[in-house]
Amino acid sequence: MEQRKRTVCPCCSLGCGMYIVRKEHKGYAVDYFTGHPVNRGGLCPAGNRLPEVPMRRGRLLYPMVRKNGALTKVSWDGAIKKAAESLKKIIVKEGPGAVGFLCSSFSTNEEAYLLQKLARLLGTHNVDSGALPFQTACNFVLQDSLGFSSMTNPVTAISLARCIIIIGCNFSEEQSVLSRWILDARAAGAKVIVIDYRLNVSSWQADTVIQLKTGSDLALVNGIIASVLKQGLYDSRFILRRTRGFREYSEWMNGFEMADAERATGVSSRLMEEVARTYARAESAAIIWGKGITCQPQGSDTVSALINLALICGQIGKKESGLYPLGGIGNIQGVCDMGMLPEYLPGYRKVENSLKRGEELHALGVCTLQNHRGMTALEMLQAARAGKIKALYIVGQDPAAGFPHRALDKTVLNKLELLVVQDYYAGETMQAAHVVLAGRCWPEKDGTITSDGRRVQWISRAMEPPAETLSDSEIIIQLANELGLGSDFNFSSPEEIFEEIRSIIPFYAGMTAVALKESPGGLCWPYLEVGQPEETSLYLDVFQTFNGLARLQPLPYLPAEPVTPSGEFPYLLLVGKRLRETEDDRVTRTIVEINKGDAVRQGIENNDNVILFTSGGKTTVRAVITSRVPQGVVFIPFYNESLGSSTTGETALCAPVPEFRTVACRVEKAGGH
Amino acid sequence: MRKVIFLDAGRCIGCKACEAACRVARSGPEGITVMPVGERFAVPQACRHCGQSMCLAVCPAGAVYKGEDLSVKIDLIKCIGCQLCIAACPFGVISLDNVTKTVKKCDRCCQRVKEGYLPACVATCPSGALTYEDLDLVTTRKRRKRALSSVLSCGQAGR
Repeated sequence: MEQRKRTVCPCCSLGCGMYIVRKEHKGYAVDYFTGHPVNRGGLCPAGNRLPEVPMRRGRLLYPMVRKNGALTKVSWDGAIKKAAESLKKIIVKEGPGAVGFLCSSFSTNEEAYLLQKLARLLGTHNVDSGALPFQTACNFVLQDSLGFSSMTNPVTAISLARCIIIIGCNFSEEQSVLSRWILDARAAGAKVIVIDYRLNVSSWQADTVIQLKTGSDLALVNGIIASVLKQGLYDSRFILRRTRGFREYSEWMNGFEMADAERATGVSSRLMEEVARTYARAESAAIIWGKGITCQPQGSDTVSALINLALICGQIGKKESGLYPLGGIGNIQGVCDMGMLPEYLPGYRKVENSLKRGEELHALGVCTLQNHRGMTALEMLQAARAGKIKALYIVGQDPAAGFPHRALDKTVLNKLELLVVQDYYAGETMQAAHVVLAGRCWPEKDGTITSDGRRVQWISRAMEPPAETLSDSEIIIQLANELGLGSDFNFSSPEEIFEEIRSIIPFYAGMTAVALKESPGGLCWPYLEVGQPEETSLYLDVFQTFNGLARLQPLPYLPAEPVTPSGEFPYLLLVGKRLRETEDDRVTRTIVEINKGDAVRQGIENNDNVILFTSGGKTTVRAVITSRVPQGVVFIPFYNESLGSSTTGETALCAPVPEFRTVACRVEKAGGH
Repeated sequence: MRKVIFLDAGRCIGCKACEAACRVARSGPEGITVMPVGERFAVPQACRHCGQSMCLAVCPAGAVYKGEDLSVKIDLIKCIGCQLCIAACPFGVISLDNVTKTVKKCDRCCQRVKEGYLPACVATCPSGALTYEDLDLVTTRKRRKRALSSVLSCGQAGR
């Protein structure tokens, strides 16, 4: 018998539909969901490998507790009891603020909802998700100025745009499926403008490529905006009807000097003017940005500037035009929707908002909750070092391997009085854990997930989990029972949890589990009433702000002084994604791309071993000479090895956290081969 | 009607999803490989299923044959692993399976097609560079595109 289950690929956050097929005597294989609205069956190489994930090395098969220094197998009752008792002890002694909860982007909505509910019933807002440190901050810029922190249109609408600006985003290699819609738009006559520091594969599809100096995105976007204003290309009707603050904004932008922008970016003002003309005059236009923007200290300013650009040109609030932030993985949108954030309750209701708090806390059954925001993941780790956080409960994340400051983390984790790791495989964090709860991985889960474009989809268990593991929701429910909160965790299936979610989050209210399972591509929120016709684009009539208008925000003209290479570290180091050249990860993992001119000057030849020094450490890599990076810049790739592992592993080498994507470094030829 | 796997090289992003899918569908060495061309293009290459197949002509064991769908296939029981077909193939798309010592190449996913699915490489292609369609449709589309572009360029010149 052939079993065919529908699921969604978690390798990026686009939400590509796929099947996992189990054939008798043949094991599991992927199949393609040609009717899916996001990917039309297409899958990137990572998606094709999804069935390998549960079989990866280090799979956890049973719960464990640390006894006499070693992790030993125990029964589920024993493990849960141990975790609950230790948690209770710490909360009684130190208060709930000494406990932190982390979950990953690979959790379903139900799991994230339950985990934050548990944390908040225990009295703490110390919850955070697996988003990269700056990414969430940037997406909240969207929420503040427009209303929702998400894509404004479904990804398929990109194919309707007639001008596409892609900035700081390597979609070809990170979100391969997106290329279909961009290429479709291009085939229909759209102009594609790719803006990046490195000429990655995405620039193959571009009509115009702008290679700018590292860290100068804000100056470039401001330059484009200034050109729009100067040439009178703005959409005054749209500005009048839908925005506020235009007069102040345009006065503020009057002080902007194109010469400064030219100097900062290394891009000619003529080119900026041309981009401004193409974008503003297009019938419809899209702006796509990714980690290149959001993983920078000033990323939120650049995102604000991009929003301003869309607003003054009126290229938003239409079915064909919109803003597309990219760069998440798995269910990151859903995990944030569920309130797995230190400053928001489910449905993005502010923790501090005292007017509404009474009713929300009532819904949550809480009485003694902090009324200030909790700590983010990085703050929790810093607080743990200071001894303020005594216990961490980590679901599906591996901060020891995945967070910047790798060295710092390990000692910090050892300082904790209680570290509970709930995961499906043995990561580095587990080495410090006191209790290990063997959970399940993505293809073994049942529940809902929310992908880019706010698309809520049902994923069903496509692969049989190991016998002694429990689903993450079950583990949290058992733990809650043990902690005496059982009456608030009276669920027996993901469907029941989803019922509660939709009763609490207004923009999920109209979705039912049955409807989600039936529709091939799920449903997009906001979906307020059962059975309403689906509207996938946001802000067609009003923005979701207090008066329905979007505010134009004056921003700094230029980015703060970016990292400058100096005598000791003369190169800038970029970190990003590059497709593997061979099946063996390690081969591609350990390369550095270097410009030909630099290589000649340093006497480096292709495939030479070189040593890369940063202020944080050094590593030996293989040199690849290329014209993709400009002189003075080198590039190393990192991989999302497979699910749930380190996306930022290599940055640990070079990261002081704020300079996340660009670091100064030195390259030396290694002695001998 | 003859359906073919057709490549629109301008759309290929070199992601190698087709290689991964082929490996899954055929549980072995891939029948399609993506060759990067400089730093601007990539071209996936698979068996062209030639009308006058050189591999068929040189095979001493009679292992290479034409299927009903006009695809060139290899009978693995008859194959003696002499690799003459590898030498004869002008595209280099036949390879040796190191385990079985027989040759392997794209069979245009005849099993999947029979069951009503697309060939695996076409189904997975995220950018839509690979398509599986009627040869007539492909040529018509190309002619239409060509006509359109020449008309458009006339229009622009006239302006």
